[in-house]
Amino acid sequence: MSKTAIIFGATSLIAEHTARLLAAEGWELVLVGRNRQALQVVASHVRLTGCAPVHELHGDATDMDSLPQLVESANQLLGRLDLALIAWGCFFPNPDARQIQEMERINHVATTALAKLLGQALAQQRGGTLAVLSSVAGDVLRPANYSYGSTKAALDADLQELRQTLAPCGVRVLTIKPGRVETPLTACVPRSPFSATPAATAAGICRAIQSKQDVVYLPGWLRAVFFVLRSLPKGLVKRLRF
Amino acid sequence: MPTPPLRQTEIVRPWNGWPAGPQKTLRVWRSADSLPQPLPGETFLPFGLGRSLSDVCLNPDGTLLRTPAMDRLLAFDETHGVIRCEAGVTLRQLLEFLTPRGWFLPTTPGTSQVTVGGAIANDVHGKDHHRNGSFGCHVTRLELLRSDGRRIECSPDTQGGLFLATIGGLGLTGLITWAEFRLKRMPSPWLNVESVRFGSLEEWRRVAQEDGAWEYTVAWLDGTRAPFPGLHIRGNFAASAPASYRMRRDAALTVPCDAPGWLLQPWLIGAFNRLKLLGQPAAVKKGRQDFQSFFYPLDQIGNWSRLYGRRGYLQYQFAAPHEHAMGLLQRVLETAIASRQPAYLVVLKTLGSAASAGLLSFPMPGLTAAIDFPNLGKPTLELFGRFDEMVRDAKGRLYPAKDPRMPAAMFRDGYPEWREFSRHVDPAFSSGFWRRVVGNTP
Repeated sequence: MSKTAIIFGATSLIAEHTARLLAAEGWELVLVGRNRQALQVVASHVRLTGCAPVHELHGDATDMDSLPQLVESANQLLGRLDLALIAWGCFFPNPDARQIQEMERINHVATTALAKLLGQALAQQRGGTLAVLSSVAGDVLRPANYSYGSTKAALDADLQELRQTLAPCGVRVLTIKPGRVETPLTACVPRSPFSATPAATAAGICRAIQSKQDVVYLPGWLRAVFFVLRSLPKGLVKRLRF
Repeated sequence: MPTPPLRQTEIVRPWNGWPAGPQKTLRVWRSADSLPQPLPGETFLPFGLGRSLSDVCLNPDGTLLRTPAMDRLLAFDETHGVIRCEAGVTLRQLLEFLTPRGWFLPTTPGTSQVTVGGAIANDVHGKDHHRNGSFGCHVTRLELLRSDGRRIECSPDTQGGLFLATIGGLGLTGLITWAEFRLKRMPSPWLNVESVRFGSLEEWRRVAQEDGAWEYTVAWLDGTRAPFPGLHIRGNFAASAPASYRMRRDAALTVPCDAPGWLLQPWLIGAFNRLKLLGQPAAVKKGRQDFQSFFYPLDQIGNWSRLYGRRGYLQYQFAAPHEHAMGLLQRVLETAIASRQPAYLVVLKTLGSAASAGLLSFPMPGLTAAIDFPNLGKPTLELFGRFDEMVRDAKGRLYPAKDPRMPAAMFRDGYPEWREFSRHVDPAFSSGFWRRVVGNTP
């Protein structure tokens, strides 16, 4: 029997490429997105190139009222779930108060709420992987990340808590920490020579799903970079310009 | 309020390495997205994989529209062999999808590292032009996104004028968001290939006259010495061959940086050419090749054009009617030798009589020759200037996708329909090439 996965924020480029890779390996997929037209286009490619059924589920999972209904529909489509992936994000450079609130709502509150709901579903079937896209920005907060980094730091903390809660039920929580990826999210800030492609990041996510890791950095060498940055004394960090 | 899209700055080089420079770029992520609003005086130009050997893919002082994520297949009719996909899909991607299903591209250029949008905008041709015409001949529909916000679906029947302008339209008629085109059945991933040795241009003409039964033909010749011996290569897909085939990765080897400018010397090329001919002592060699080796031998080496060094290379590609073409080719190659700048690579292809697919399509019934020279700067440009006279006398024309210095007069003489074409150009779209050949002519 083929494995099954549900992907929230499926129209994000990283999610889309992950879906392509999973479908090519024979995973049955439910793609959830709030932009119906974009979702159709994403699904048509995954369906054509993959080798298992691909379902589209249109809805806004960041909307607390429609969330339980969405998860319920997904359950009906798939039955048992091997993987749930949350892959959305929101980023504003130089955010004003309203934009900070929006980043907090999507990156932290809505993600955590959905993660808990999915975690319960996985715990009930006593197994599966809950993978959530966070960011290296949560590791070391710095001015260039504005308030984005703190929303991801809060998400990381919630995921750690969830990991402990769910571990006894055999559910794995996988925190995915990509560095800079070339996607619409970061198109509003100058390009970085170190940015990765969505395809490469998706390949890393698929490898991580097969592994037993709890936290994965993509590309892998970022783990060492951020270990060093985290270990620096705060007094020194404050003088750094990066 | 959405953040206004930021113009990034990137160093962009066309495939031949010249002219390279910083360019402003914007990304369009989805075929359903709208175009960003151009700033006052700003012009756009779609940029795919930058495989042109010219400034048709550059827009200095303007902005390039890049579409790295518009790589989705939208619909595939397996019974009739029709595919619809976003314009940023590469031919390589299509081959990975199509060939295991028994389908092949309607026609293909010598590299699979181009986008569908680029293949249409340059109306590329391949080794089967004498049979199947250019890429544009197989396009059934496409969608254009114009700077005024309109989305226009074009086909030969609806918006026919705009359709004809967009095929070979050098990206100037708007951003192609998706295209639909007919495919060709592929009996197996293998081709029966025959390589015929010839001793001179005259001999090549006799050999090429016997091409009747061959779908794909091309000739390579040694341009460093008269009377220009070479190999005429022809292939047909093999009907009965093992069907299982796994595509090799592209760019298994990559040239990491520009080689020193002195690396490729004329004597080295001459020796290489002699070795290549010595490698086939028989008059005719028959064999079997997979489609990747046959169509895309150079895709195995990433960034091979960097072997020419920092200044890159220039290709002179002309098409001319049959009656003048052989004489023209002879004169061009002899002039090159006489001016001590022998051609490094010469490829010949017979062009069929299929009607041109677009207003600015390059192929014409006759012959085309693509001739590579290292870019020595002024001497090479002067040499090309002398070629221009010969091409004009032979009623030929040059390929915009290959020519970063084509004088305006050569373009206007070669493409008399350019005025009709310019009526379809999007007012907010332009390119380095277009400004050079048309200037401020209304």
